[in-house]
Parts: sequence; structure tokens; C-alpha cells
Amino acid sequence: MTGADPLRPAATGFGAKVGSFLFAHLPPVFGLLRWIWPVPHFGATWMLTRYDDVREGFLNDPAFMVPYKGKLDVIMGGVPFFLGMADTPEYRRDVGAMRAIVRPADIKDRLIPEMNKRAEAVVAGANGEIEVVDTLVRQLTFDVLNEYFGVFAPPGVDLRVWATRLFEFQFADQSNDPSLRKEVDQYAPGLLTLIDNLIAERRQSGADIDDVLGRALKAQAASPDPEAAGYSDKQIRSALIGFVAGGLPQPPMIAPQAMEQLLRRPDALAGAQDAARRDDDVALAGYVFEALRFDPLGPAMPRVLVEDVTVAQGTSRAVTIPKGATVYLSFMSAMRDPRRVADPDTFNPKRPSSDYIHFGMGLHQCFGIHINMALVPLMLKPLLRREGLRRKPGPDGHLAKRGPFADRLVVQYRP
Amino acid sequence: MRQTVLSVVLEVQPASASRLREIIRGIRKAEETVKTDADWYYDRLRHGVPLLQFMSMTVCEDAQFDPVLVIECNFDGAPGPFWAQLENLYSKELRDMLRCCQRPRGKLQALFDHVTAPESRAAIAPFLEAATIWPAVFHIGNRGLPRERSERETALFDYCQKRLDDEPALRSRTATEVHAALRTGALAQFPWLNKPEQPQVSTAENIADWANLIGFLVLAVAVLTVPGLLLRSTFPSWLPALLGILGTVWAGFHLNWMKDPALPGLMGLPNPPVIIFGIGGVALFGAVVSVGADRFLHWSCVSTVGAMICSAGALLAVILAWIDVLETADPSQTAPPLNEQKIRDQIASEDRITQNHMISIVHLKPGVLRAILIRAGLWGLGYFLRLQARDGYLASMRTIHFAHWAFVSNGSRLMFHSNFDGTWESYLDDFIEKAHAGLTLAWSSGVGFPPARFLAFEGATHGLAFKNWARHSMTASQFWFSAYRDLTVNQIERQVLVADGLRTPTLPEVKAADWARRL
Amino acid sequence: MSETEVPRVSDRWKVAKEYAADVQGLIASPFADLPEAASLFLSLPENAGGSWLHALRQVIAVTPALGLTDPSIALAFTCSGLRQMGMDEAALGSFSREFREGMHQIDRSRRLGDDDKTTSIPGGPVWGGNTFDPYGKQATKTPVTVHAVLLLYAKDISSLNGLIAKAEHALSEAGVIVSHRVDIQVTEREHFGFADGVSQPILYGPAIVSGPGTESKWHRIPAGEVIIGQTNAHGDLAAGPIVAEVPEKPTMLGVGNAPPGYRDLGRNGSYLVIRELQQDVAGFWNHMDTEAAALGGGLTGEWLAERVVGRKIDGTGLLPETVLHPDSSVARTVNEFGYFNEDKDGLSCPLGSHVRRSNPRDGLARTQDEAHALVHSVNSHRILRCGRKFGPPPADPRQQDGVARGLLFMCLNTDIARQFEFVQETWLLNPGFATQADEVDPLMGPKGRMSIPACPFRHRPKIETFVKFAGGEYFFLPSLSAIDYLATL
Repeated sequence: MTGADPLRPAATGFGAKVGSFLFAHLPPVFGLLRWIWPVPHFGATWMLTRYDDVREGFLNDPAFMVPYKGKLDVIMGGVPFFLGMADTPEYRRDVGAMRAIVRPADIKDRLIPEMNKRAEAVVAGANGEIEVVDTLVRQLTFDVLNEYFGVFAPPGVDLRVWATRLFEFQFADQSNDPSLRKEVDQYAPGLLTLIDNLIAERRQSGADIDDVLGRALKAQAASPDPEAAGYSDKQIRSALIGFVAGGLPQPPMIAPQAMEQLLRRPDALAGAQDAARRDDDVALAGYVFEALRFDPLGPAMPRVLVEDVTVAQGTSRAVTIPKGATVYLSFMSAMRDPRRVADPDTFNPKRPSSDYIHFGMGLHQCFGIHINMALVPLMLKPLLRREGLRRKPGPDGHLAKRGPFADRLVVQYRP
Repeated sequence: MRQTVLSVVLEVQPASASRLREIIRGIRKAEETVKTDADWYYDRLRHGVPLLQFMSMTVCEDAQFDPVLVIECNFDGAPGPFWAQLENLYSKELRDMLRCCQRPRGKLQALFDHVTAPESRAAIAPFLEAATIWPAVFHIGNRGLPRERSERETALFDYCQKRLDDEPALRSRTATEVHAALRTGALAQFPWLNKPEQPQVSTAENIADWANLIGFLVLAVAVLTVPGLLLRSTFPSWLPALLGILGTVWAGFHLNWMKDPALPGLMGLPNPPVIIFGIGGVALFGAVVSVGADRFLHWSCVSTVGAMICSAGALLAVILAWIDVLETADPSQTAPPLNEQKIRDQIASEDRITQNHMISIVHLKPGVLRAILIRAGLWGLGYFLRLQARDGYLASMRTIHFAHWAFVSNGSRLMFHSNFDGTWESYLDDFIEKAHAGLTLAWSSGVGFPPARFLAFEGATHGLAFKNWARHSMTASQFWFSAYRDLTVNQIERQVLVADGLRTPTLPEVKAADWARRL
Repeated sequence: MSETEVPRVSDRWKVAKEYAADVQGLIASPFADLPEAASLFLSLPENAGGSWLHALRQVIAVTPALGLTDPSIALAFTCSGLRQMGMDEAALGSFSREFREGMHQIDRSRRLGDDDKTTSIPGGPVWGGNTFDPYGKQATKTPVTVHAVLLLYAKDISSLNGLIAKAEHALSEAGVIVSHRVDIQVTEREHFGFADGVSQPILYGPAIVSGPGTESKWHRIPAGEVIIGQTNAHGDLAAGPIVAEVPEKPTMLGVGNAPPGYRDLGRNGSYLVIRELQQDVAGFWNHMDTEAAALGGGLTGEWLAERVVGRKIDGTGLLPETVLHPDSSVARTVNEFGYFNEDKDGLSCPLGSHVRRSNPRDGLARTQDEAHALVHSVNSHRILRCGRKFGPPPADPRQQDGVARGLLFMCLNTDIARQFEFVQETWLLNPGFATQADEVDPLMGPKGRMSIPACPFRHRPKIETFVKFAGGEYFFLPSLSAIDYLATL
């Protein structure tokens, strides 16, 4: 299946066109909503658009429940995964177990050098023209991180396709597309078996490999009750599926979007290139995540209320949302809310962290936040260091999207 | 470029005051121990709240009131983003601090409950915004200079100094050539030199400043003349004239000024006795015009104007006399009870960096006239300073970064904050010796202030009494932050001039020499 | 320029007759005619009381301001000394905070720059009052505790030695120890070689008889800046200590400005600030030579040293040639000048030089209008200096001879915070003084850069510290009647 397109064919027809036009022009719509209708709703679907309200929604995890459990069960074969849990002892156990083996020190000692090396090799080998989404970012993400996780696909399996489909099913399939479900019903058990096999093989071979899988198995062996410690086979499997299917499809979305936003702003691009050439990774990250503020991962995150909640209590826009409602927390809108973000329409690479909600907040803040913050800028860094970086003339030189996914962006540079 | 000066003042549950102080000290301790940058404290706050210039958090005790928590903030831009940045950093601490405060009544209550409820995760910023107390008058030393710009210009200034130190060969060049040499090198490192900066005072702000002052003056004149207009429109012309003259005569009898040695003039105005005579004359003149125009010429328009003039003169005279009567009888506290331990705490916290901070809260004298005059006085002073003190100078001194006065405790107390260069002694001496009038005007309504005359005279000139009074009203802040601990107001302006020079492609020799003197 | 061209303080003004018998002579004159002197720093026994003053009075008497006498004597007390003599806490509490806390109080030490190891002698200052501090943190302890200072002045060394012997004998009889002694002289030049004592304030007021040539706007200050009980520069009566009246114990002390029920202990007295400053002459000159050479352009060590000090070696002001016209009067060239009109940018006398920092005159003004007001303001922060040098002058200023020498800095004022400490903190050690950035007094402050304005741009040599603090304290210099009172303790 190598060579298959990780993205499904684009939707066609008038509705899809209107949808994609709206999707591309969300910021002014949100601007208007924040001003005149900050908590819009249609039936049982609500949306929070102001910074304060979005923040409250993310932080108030007991009331704003993540709605992921149903589909997660499909993917994980019914084994609970922390992404779908409330703040329970099981949640803390599972997250804690993974934090103990996905260590902060790995980023500096292992992932950053590896990413730098591979990214430079990809760009150096591309000879003056490169497609950013797949050839550069997706490839790098899957190569570097799967090696770190210890997840290797057997011949004939393209994890990029499997993971991206499962990701779409989990996070971007609001209409429950039956054709997607058909694919998921094939890939989800496939991935389960694949990981099960990996675990079995590793245990059998007795090889001592220092990756996430290896560490998990070691922790399992060292623990009298692996289940209680969070390292049973099924827990390890769920975590690895979660990382691969939930995490890896994201950098190929955001890194090209950041590049596109930089290409739109010559000053910002020059600044980012300068930072890349000076090896100032902190400054470079500032440019990349500021660019993303103008086109983040998505417009909003869904939550489901488990009780009646009065949002913005004590203010004039206070509104009570009933139990059971689906509430979309628009972090895209929040990051452009001038009530809390200084000069939101200005590109400023030195913003404080409070201006960003790229990774959500609170209990379900992205598990990979630190890895992403460190690695995403590095995926673009070798490209930014090149002289003469520009769009490829023609439509390929502008970021095309397929649904919420970045599809294609070709840039040129002096080889 | 807009800058905001504000404070949040909340009553504290007395039993929780010491816990509150501990929370605030905890923030300070965390900031002073967590170092991410080799030679800088308060890194988290500096980077996390890039809009912030100066901030203090203080629990102020008072024998007559429950303690209050005062959060004083001076920052760039509008309040919303600032609070979001601060909350992002200190969300837990701020919520715990609010929990030590008394539950406010009125419209703040629902918000307070929401924010302080157990396990609450509601945004704190909306409450802090709603609880904001705006200054009655404020002063900004480096108006329109955001911190971000001062930091850039500091780096540029240091760059220039280093080059001049390291390249003795430049000494044999002309100033124009030195300028060119520095500019060429600086452009590579500081590309912003090629971009225009936002003006320090925008056109809109400029128009607003003038409109405010003119509006204030028009309103003041209206308030003084309207009684004449109303009386004249209902009664015959002799009545307002008679009332005006009676008022002026009453004022004349009650003024004590003739017994005192003449007071000096103020800001180019003649001294008070001359002004008072003049005002009496104006009232009399108005009365004569009003009656004369009505009786003999039958010009009712002119008569009305006369009545208004008479009204203004008489009211002013009455107000001055009333003030004089009040001031003569005012008790002042010649020996405020100085708590040595409190003063020691203040002194121990002072003179650590280039700037110092003071917070003082005083009670206000009673009476309707005082209540009106202190508000109108501070209001007008504020508008006046916006125009007069744009370059940061108050009289001949330029040492204040941010200062403000605000009414607290439902208008019964006056709070003063200042973030200034140099020592507390030198700051007060500056006022005593150079700018006592403005200070006396703002503070002479405070209970116990050294005896003042006509609101603006004497008062602060009583050096020792004034210093004792000021000290005893102060509290050592549990937390105080300066975003640039070695920059004076003067140095920030000096850096602006150096940067401005470097923005210009070439300078002729005379201008270049003038520019080079700043280095 | 010879010494006689510098008008003596005593030539310019005198203490009026009705005050002169009560005011100590040191206030009216630094006894320049008595070149040999010694400062005896005394330590009192526990519960010393005032009787030792009786014993001392049997052999020598404190000199009043009635005119020059040979020998002359001055006497002053630290706060710890007064406490040791049994003064009650209520009376001690009426002294100024600075005096009560002492020079070595931990916050004061920081603000005076004395906590900086590089500006003190190795091992830290040797002597101080070691004042008991009931508040806050404990003051830094010095090895030697000083309770009082006895200053003895004589015409020649032998009469001085006789005087010292007499005093020491009487003191030791009373159990008082001379715990530290500094022999001091009048010399034409201070040890670095500069003419000294040029700029002194001129007192005026009801307690003063002004001599000719005292109208100078640059140096006139009200007597209350130096004499307690007189009107000071802020228009108030200079505050001093008071003691409660005790009916069964009649006292010579007058009522003065004290409220009913009290007697005025401070009236006609003053506060005396003493700081022992060691000078490394050879270090200074060798450093000046090196730094001047590094600046290039043929600049000499003398040139640089004159900029550091802010005067020429002969004491003349560093003013533009146009101002130092040969026809102008001597007085004007010496001391009657401002900076605003003559040298606003400091091209002649650097803005940060020691003399300009010590007395900025009108140099901090922004406009001509302000210049006058600023002189008045600056003159609210003057001190009356009466220090002398210790140690022999160096034979060769560039040759290290290992001999201790320096300045026993002494000055009189009534408001230590507003006068001495203000000069030290707000002018000398203020890194933002006169629009400068991050520079302090090149002579007294810790090492650092010093900007010397020049064309096309400033020099900025690095100046090390060669004047080091060896000990000091704040003293109360009582009136003669107050000394009589203290003797009854």
C-alpha cells in the first residue's frame, strides 16, 4: 500500500465549496461573533468564541467532558485510553505511566539532534524544490517519532495512511461519514494487531532497545501488578496507538500551515530565516507558533457538558448551557480576541505564552506539547536556512487543503 | 502608544491579612529564586507579561479600616491583554489572594463568587477588570514609550557604547563620520532602525488631551456662572447683583490672608492677595454692569452677562474665603504616630535598584467643599499634566516613571503610588524644594497634612513635618516589580534621542555633534 | 595659587555674640591656624555616667566659638556613648533616626556604599559606634567601639603631645580608654596633591554675623543647616534632641525650642559626621597614568586626575578658558561660578567628576529660569566640612611606600539624611546622576566607567577605587551647656 495518499479524496460539490470557503475565512466571522454573539448556538450545539470563555471551557474539565470515548473504543478495541477519560485515578495512573517513559530529557538528548540531522538530509537531498506537507514534514514526523516509540510497520503497511485515517475519524469526522468508517473498520483492527505483534516480538527477542516500547516492557517486568502500574500489554498498546494515530498526523497539518503564513509575510519570513540561521531555536519557535496563530490546527475543539454550566458568570454575556449540549471551544477565535491578546492582528514573534492556546489547556492539554514545541520548528529549520526560499510559481506554491488537512505546498530555494 | 495606570483595591478579611501577605511574598520569593537568565531576577514575570512596566502588591493596614489589598499596575496598551498575561502566570496565587478578601456587595458579588468558589476555574481577569479603580490623576514619565521599545533602544545604546569604547580610531573622525560608522553597523543588528516608530503621543491622544482640558475649563466656568444666569432669568437684576456683592463682602470679612506675610505667586500667576482683590473687583464690576445695563440701557443681554460675571467672581471669592476659614481651623498632625518597625521595613526595602516605590493611603478631610474641590482639583490637574508634562518633567524634575492618585474606600481615602528614580529622601526633597504646589494641591485635603494655604501653598514646604506625615501613611509593599531595574526616566529619553539620531541616514556636523554628546 | 587666596571660613562669618559662648568653636572654624591635631576616639566603661567629663574638664576645656584660642578642643558623642553614659531611652529617641541607628546600620551601610567590599579597607571598617539596634536586623559590628571623640588642636607638635598626655591621663583615671587615635594635620594639599577645602558654604541668619563678601548666591545657606535650633533651608527650625525636666535636678539647659516640660539639649549643637578614608596615592597616580595612556591622544595622568576630581591640581575650577579670564577676580575663578552657563555639557568639568557631584550648583538645570531655583535647591543639601589629613605626604606620589595616609573626613550638619547622606547617595553614588547611566563617583565609588565629555564623543576610562573606608560614625556635637548637662548624668 506504499504510495497511497494519506488523505482521502476531497469532497466535491457546491456544499463542499461553500464549506471550504467559509473555513478559509473564519477569522472575520469569529471577529463578528465575539463582538455581537459571543456564545452562539444552533440547537444543542454551542460555541465559545471569547478568550475567557474558551479558557474556562478547557480548564473546567469536570463539566466540559471530552467526547472522544465512543470512537476511541472503536479504535482501541474497547480498552480505555486516557484521552477519553475524566480526571479519575485511572486517568492519572495512565498519564503518569506514560510520562515516566516519554521523558522530557529525551527531547534535548535524542529527538532534537535526530530531527535536525534528518531534516537537513531531506532538504539537502531535494535539490532546490520540495513539497513541504508530505515529503518533508509527514515523512520526518513518522520516521523520527516511530523510531522513538518503537513502532515499525511491516512491509506493505503504510502507517501514514492508517494513522491519518484514524485521526480523521476521531477528530474531524463530525458527520460520521460511512465510507470513512468502512476504512476505519479495516485499519483499526490492523493497527491493534500490528502493535500486539510488535509487543510479542520484542518480548520474545529479548532485545534491549531504549525506545518507548522497550521502556514500557521493562517497567512492566519490574512491576508486580503491571495493570495497576499502567503497563499491562493492553495499556501499552493503547498508548502507542494513541501516540501514532492521535499525535503523528498533527505536525503535517501545522508545520505547512505555519510555512504558508510565513510566506505571506515577507518580514516575518526574513525574521524566521534569520533566527534559523543564527541557530536561535527559541526565536524560531516564536515565529512558527505565531504564524500558526493565524491558521492553527483547527477552528475549535468539541466538549460535551455533563451538567448545566453558566459560562461567563457574573458578566453581561453570562449564559447557561444545558447538560448534554456539545460545546465547541474555538481556540482559533480566542487567540485573535483583542480583549485578551494584545494587537491580535499584528504578527509578533515575541508574544507571551498566554497569547497561545495551540495545545488546549488543563487536563487534556496535548500530551505531546513539549515534543511538538521543540520539533515542529526544527522540521522547517533547514528549509528556512536556505537562501532564496520562495513559493514555487503556480498553484503548487500555495498551500492547498483537503478538508481540515494540509495537502500540498511546494517551495523552491537555492540548492 | 497608549499606557494604562490602574489599581485594584479590595477589602481583606482581617484574619486572613497575614496569609495574604504570605501569598504575595511567596510570589516574590518564587520570582527571585527561579532564574532562567544568568543575571536577571523576575524573568518569569518579565517574559510572561511583556506589557508590564511597574507593579506592586501591598496589604495596607489602617487603624480605622479593615486592611486592603492594593494591586497597582502600570503597563502598555489596554487592560484586557495585560490581565490575561498576568493571570496566565499567577492564576493560582491570584485566586488564593482573592479568597482572602471580603466578598464585595453589589454587582461585583456574582463575579467574585464565581471566581473564588472552591475548585473554581473561572477566569480571574474579568473580576480584576470590574474591580479596577481608575486614578483620579496620573503622571507618566516616559509617555508613549512602551517597554518593548525601551528594551530595544537599551540594546542599541549599549551597542553604541561598546563600539565607541572599542574603536579609538573613531576619535579622529568628525561627528558626522562617527554617526555614519555607528549607523552602518547598527543597521545589521537592529533592522527596526529603518522602520518608523509609533508616535509617543498620537494625533487622537493629542486632540483628546486638548479637548479634555478645554472641556474642563468650560465646565468650571459654566458651574460658576450658571447661578447668575438662573437668578437673572427669574428675578430683577438687582437681586443677583446684591447677592453677589453680599457674597463678596462676606468673603472679604472672612479672609485671613491680610494677617499673613504675602504668599508667593504660582506658575506665573500673581500672589493670592492680588488675585483675591481682582476677583472681588470682577464681582463688583459684574454687578454694576448687570444693574446698569438693565436699569439705564435696558440691554437685557448685557445685563445677563454681567450677572454671570458677578456670579463667577462672587462664588470664587466665597470659595476662597471658605477654604481660608477651613484651613485656619484645620488641625494638622505635627507628630504622626510613627511605627519604627514599619518604617524600618520600608527603609529596608528601599534603594535596592535604580528606582523606588512608595504607596501611601491617607484619610480625607470632611466637608462638601473639600469633597468637590479635591475631585475637581485632581481632575483638572490630570488634564493639565497630560499637556504640560508630556516630556516627563514636573517643574524641573524628571524622576517619575509612573505615579497616580486614586480615591479608595468609597471616596473617603486618597491613595498615592509612585515609581521614581533615586532615594525616597531625594524624591520628597525634590517636591519640597521644587514642586510643592502641585503636591500640596493633591494632598492638602488629607487629614493631618501640614498646614496649607489656599490648597496649593505652604503645606509640603514644611519639610520635616511633611516627610514624617508621608512616611507614616506609607506601607512597605510585599511585592514590587520594575521591568528595567537600571534605567532612569532620563536614560530612557536619552536612548530615544540616540536611536532617533541613528534612524536618520546622515546628520550634518552640527546636529551630529549634538547627537554624539548623548553618547 | 597660594593658600592665602582661599578665604577662610572664619574670615567670612562669625557666630553672633549671644550664641558664641555656647556654640563649640569647631562650628565656627576648622582651627586652620592650629596645624597639629589629634582625634582621640574614646570607649567608655559600663555605666560611665557623666563624671568622666568632670575629670576631663579639670585638665582641658571644650573651646567655644568666641575667637581663636590655642589650643582648641572639640568634643562629640555617638549614640552608643550617650546610652553608655546613662541617657534615658526617651531622650535618646528624640535624636534623629540617622544618629540613633548609626552609620553602620545594615540598610544605611548599603545606601552609603559601605557594604561594597571594594570601597572599604580589607577586612571591613575598623571602628564605629556599634549602636544597639532594637529594630530590624543587627547593625554590622566593627572591632573597635567608639563612644565619643575628643578633637585636640595645637600650634605645634610638642604642645599637642602635652595636651594629649594630659587628656589621656585624666581619661584613664576615669576608666575611659582611647580605643582609636588618628593624628591629623592641616596641609595645603590633600594626599593626591590637590588643593582642598576650596568650596565651603557660608552661613547666615540671626545667629551669624556676616563678614564682607558673603553675599555669594552659590554658597549661602541658613545657619540652621549647621546649628540646631536655627532656621534651616526648608524654613523650619533645625530639630534636635530634648530632655525631660526633672524638678529635683535643676539644669543649666535652656528651654530653647523644647515644648513645656522639656529642656532643649540640641540647641546650639550640631551633628558631626566622621569617616576615616585611606588613600592609596601611588595606586591612584599609576592608575591615572595607565588609563590616560590607554585613552591615547597624548593625555596625561594629571589631565585624567583633574577630570576625576573636577578641579585643577591648584584648586582652580575646571572651566572653559573664556571663563578663566586673567582679569576676573580671584574669588570668581576660585569658587564663584555655576555650570549651567559656563559648562552645561561638562566639556570642561565632566558631569560625573567628584567636585561636580559633590555640589552640582546649577548644573542640573534644564533652562536658564530653573538655574536660579536649582542653586537654592542644591544649597538645601550642603555640609560644612572640617576634615583633616592623616599620614605624611608622599615623597613620590607614584612610588608605593607602604605608609598609611588619607583623609579624616569630618562635616557638620543638622539633618544628616537631607545633607550628608543626600550628598553621598543622591549625588556621589547615584548611577543616574545628571543624565548619566551606570556611573558613580570616580573618586569615592566602586570601580567603574567614567564619561568625560569630549569632541567628537566622550572618553570613558575605567576608574578603580583608591579611597577606602576605614571606619566612621555619626556624632552629636553638643553645645557647651549641653556638655555641662551631660556631665551631670
